[in-house]
Amino acid sequence: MLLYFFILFAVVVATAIAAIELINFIWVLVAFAVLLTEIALFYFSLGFPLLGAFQLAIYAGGVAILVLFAILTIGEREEEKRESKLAAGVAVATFITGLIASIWTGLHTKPYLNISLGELGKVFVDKYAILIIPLGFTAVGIIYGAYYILSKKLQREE
Amino acid sequence: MTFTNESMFWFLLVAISLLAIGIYGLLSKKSILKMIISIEIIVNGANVGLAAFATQHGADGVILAFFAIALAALEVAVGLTLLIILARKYGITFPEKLNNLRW
Repeated sequence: MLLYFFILFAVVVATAIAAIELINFIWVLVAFAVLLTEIALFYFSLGFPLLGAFQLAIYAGGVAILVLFAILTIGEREEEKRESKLAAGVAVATFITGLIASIWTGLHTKPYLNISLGELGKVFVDKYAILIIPLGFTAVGIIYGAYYILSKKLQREE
Repeated sequence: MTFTNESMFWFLLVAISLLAIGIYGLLSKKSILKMIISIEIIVNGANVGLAAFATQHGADGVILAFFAIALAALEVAVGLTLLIILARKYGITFPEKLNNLRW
């Protein structure tokens, strides 16, 4: 089982690095789509099939297609080089800090809980159903804000 | 199929790796598209962490991961729309040239 995990882990890390470092945007999209699909496999492995299906539908389906449309619209362009020593330093520091925290947390791992879909729905209705309303308003606000900024800018251009 | 009980560390390792790679991409890349993809990698790392902690503390982490996925998809849709409009109208795909939204 651990071998299966390490294969998944290697693919996830390799595709994440490829999605950032590749120059050709089409290959970036391919690596990104594979990454999102592999993360869904992690959710299945953890025992959350609904979350994995959601990940596949929303991310590997919707977001990947959105990125594909964006690439097809703006064209494949190479990016300029930038000095990235500071970025690498920040990333390594984040990784080391998180690794220490992960080891500490992993030492105190309790037996896994079996969370059924029924229990998931019950917790959602009891605790988080009311959160849908502000989230809906947030979504509308984000979309309207983007439209407002662009329309105001276009009016100025005219 | 589930992993053994001792394996929560490995899922947190996946989450931390994705977080570090996403931070590196966000800080080092100039293309807006690559920055959006880096943000998505960071969000996915956070979601893996939430799902891993849900195996220890109950279903709340999974529900938060659902919300995070929905909001991240919304954020990508808006970000890519802005990117497409800026690229088509002004030919801009690099954020440091993006100063003409000021008014």
